[in-house]
Amino acid sequence: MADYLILIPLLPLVAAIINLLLGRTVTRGKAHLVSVPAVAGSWFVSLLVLRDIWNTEHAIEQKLFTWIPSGSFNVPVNLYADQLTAVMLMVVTSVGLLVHIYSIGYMHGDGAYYRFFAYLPLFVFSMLMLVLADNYMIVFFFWEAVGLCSFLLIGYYYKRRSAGNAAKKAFIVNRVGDLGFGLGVIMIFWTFGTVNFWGPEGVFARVGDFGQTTITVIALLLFTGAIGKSAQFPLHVWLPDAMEGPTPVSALIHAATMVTAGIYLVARSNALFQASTTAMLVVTCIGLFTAVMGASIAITQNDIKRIVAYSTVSQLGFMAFALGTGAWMAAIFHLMTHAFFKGLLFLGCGSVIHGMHEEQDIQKMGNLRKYMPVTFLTFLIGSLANAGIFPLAGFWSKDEIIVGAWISTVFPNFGKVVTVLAFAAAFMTAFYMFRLVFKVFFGKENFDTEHVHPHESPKTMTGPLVILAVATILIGFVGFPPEDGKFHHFIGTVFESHAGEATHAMASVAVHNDGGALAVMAEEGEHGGHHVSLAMTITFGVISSVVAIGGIFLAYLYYIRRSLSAEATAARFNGLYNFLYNRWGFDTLYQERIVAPLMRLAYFLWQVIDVKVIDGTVNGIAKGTLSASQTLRKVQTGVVSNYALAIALGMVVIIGIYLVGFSSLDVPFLR
Amino acid sequence: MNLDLSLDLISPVWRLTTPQLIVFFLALVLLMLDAFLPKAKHFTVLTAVSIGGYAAAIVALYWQHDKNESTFNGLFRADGLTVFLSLILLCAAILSVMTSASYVDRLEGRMPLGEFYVLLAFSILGALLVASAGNLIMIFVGIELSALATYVLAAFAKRRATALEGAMKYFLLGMFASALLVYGMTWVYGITGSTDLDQIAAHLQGVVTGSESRQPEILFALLLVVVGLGFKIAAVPFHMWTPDAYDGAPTPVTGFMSVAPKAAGFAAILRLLVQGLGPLRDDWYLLIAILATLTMIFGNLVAISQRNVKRMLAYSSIAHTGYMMVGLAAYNSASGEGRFVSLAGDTAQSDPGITSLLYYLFAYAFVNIGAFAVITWVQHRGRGMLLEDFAGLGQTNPLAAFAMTIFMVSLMGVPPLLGFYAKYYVIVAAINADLLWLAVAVVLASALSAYFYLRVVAVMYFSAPSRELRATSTPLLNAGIALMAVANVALGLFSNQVLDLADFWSGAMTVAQAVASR
Repeated sequence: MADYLILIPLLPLVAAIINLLLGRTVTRGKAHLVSVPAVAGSWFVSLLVLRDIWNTEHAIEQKLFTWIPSGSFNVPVNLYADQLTAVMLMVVTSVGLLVHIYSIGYMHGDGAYYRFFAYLPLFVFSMLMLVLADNYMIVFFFWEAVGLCSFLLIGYYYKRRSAGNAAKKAFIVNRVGDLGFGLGVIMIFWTFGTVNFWGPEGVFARVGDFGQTTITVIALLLFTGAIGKSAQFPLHVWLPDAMEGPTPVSALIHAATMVTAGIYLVARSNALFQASTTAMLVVTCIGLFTAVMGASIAITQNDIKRIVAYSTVSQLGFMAFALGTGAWMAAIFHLMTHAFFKGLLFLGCGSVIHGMHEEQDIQKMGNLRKYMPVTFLTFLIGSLANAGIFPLAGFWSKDEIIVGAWISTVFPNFGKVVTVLAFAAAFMTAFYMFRLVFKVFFGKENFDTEHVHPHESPKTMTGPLVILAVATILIGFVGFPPEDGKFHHFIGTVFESHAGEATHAMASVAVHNDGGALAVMAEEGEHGGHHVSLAMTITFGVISSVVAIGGIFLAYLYYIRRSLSAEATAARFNGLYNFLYNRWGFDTLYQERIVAPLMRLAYFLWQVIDVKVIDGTVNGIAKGTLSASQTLRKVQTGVVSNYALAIALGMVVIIGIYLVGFSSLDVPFLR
Repeated sequence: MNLDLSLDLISPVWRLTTPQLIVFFLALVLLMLDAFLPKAKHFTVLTAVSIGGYAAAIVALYWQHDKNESTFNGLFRADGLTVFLSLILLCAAILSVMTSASYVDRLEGRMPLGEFYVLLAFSILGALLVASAGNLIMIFVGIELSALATYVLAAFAKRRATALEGAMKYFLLGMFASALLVYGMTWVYGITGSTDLDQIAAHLQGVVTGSESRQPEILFALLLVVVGLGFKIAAVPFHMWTPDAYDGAPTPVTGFMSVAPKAAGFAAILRLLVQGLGPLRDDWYLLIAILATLTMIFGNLVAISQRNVKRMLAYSSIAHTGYMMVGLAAYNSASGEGRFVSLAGDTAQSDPGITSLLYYLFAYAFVNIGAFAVITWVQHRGRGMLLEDFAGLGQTNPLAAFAMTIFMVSLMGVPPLLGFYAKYYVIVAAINADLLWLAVAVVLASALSAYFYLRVVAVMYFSAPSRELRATSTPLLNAGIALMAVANVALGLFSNQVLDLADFWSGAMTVAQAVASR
């Protein structure tokens, strides 16, 4: 029954191996003929899995083998698909398949076409294994594997220096987060004696057995990994640079899937997080800060991909604080809708860049709707969704996040502050999104019309755009009506089952601490979390719509009617503008305070410790050996009498050895 | 009693001596053939007869393998030690014939092949007699028979001054050492009243346990014996003849000299020090251990600054003597503890130290003769013996370079080659005997040796070839090199089986069942 689960990751893996081994000689320019059907097959099987889980409401499991059997430390490689996994599978394979198809056109004629179509399915395989894993060790393994694929694909144009640097930056910044994740896994094993998720001996079932401090430390360590992978403050700096990779890669890895691995990890570990209010607070604060910061930076950027990248950072922040405020379903819902509309936006960017002959500066574009109507229309849909306009996908999920924060049972008061700031971020989102749309697709041509002839992209590229646009329109309705849609019924069990256990644990802690408020909160939690009245839903829907439309209108005033001047505003708030334009100064700060001192330290370690001390010691020993050798060889004089003398001297030495008392015989005359 | 002894002397059990007799008659037959066979047929016939003779002796060894008897009134012993040492010596003989035949026949002004084979046979015969000796006199006679033949072999390239010089030094110092050895033997006889190893051991056992009067003079005898035999195995500081003699001798002879006379020297040590003076183990093991350390360090250190590969291997062979002596130092008269393997059903007690020494000797025959064989191979093709002459061999002749690499790496002691296991067992034996520092010394000395062994490999693969090799055909030599290269890998992979044999035979060795003297 469950034996087909293995097919989902296996197909892309096989495709990757084929293209890696035979790409140079056999598949070459037809590498997509291997990869696209593989990912399509994987998508189809995921669909079957979704259907089965939908019908049976039971998780599907397939045991493969034991990777590390070492005493009490056992790491099995098992596939496990519950509702959360099923959603992730659908997201990864759907967007993955569309990006694969899109890449046929986008990467056409690239010198290392096969390499691209080897790395991309390799990434899909790793990502699928990550969400299918049933223990932290395997999650960690494939966490690193997706990181590797990301590294390889950011540096795909490795001859370009900036691409190489961006790849290194992404990899190194992620190391910081991965260190935390790694320590978290160790801590989990140390505490629980296992790394497995499920079962009565698994981690999630026994969260309540351990102290809150321990659980908090574990949760925070896991979240450190999420901060790196999901580009949260303060490790967000790698994601905008990662746009050096080919645009389909940005769409798939750095918008739709890999960056959501951190969100997935926290959602998967919700049993741990729910048991620690401190951890939840940290997640909320970091997420909220990231959402606001990302949106504010996106306002001032001019590189089309960077704007969308900062938008991604901001949206990931939305998901993170949704997790933190306990709106688990909203976070995953947003993860799913975001995957579609942000994938759409990135692919649209790719189409624009493709049509504009590799131009990425939005100041050198304009009026492109005339030249590329399909791209315009789909991009507009994506932008509306991102801005949160009814009834597109982004509206439903973002609205739910905001409502979730308002009624948060974890932080009843702080949640209100979160809501207000979230609205601010949403306003900025609408503004920067339509600043982009107006500057790129409206107004007059800001490029050399003599030489640059923008053109619509080929069918393999616009096809996925259209499909994604349709999905962006429709996907939100799986969450309709809000808080009570099919999506919530489907995925709710993942969080509710643990919510019950976790709140029990918290309740017991609360009783010990004699904390009344917590107990009340736990009580609420047990009664199925938050109940939202219809009035409240409509109220918030209206408010967020007003906020979004307000943002769009402001952008309209600036960039279409030009009744407000962007230049004048920028000049007036010069300091703020530069602050935002320089991305809050994080890159400079890290460069000066972290990278530069580290480089100096590395230089010191290299030039002094390594070259002088270590090499010096080694070379010194070698030199000493050589000179000893040169000296000793002179003993060989070639004169026979000297040789005989050596023998005689040897005898004297031996007598000496006996004289100093080495003898078991009690020799009187030698004493 | 006396009558019985003389009867044994008059009508000995000849069949026990079959392998040794075969080699003896081989020498005689070779002499006859050399005299009466037409010159044109010398190469083929003499070589075939030599190899056949040694092979027959190996086959004859099979019937000796489970014996533990003596004849000629105890002069001759057929025990496990005899068998294993004889096997090593006869293998070395066959390999030497294979590697030296064309060299002697063609290079250095066409040396007389018949004489060469005869001398080789007598040298082997002498070594075989030492290996089977049960008596001081027999040991001395065997050593001298082997040495005299080897002196001549060392001088065999008589047109070359360095050959004569090296051989002359070897001879003079050899006489000096023999004098010391025989002086030491007279002291042993004087103290114990016997030349028979068992009776000597029995007497010394009494001395150690206190049932006999204490005779400190025995230490003097021990000293003289160690110096005399230390010379034979080229232990520092009695090694001085080695580089000159090895350098002067024809290259394949050097390979032979570094194995067979060394094996004979260790055979004498095993008979004399372990069987005869075994009860005094506590008085000599530290001495041997110190000499072993000196020998390892000195040999490897000086080898580093040699540019002549042959001379480098001469020093390397000194270093390997040191490793072997570690096995000897690890000899523990309280035998039976900490042994490697327990063979099903064996009754004798084996000693890990002796086992590792025997294993080392066996391995060394296949590694070192092989290394010298590749030098011979290069010389055949118009090159010298300097490092530069090996430049680019990896390009011009990958197979020869590969074989040389195997030998170098095996000498260095890298798994899974034969040389690794030899060193490994020696180290284990040293640790078992509570000589941890000695085991550490072995490892450090090996690290030193990596430099000059790998330098040969590096030169072969990373330097550009200097000039063309002369085209020539040396089928027998090639076969010998191939055989040894394969043996290095195969015997390395099946090292356990070889170790079992060494263990079995060292266990079967008739050690006077000495008791710990502490």
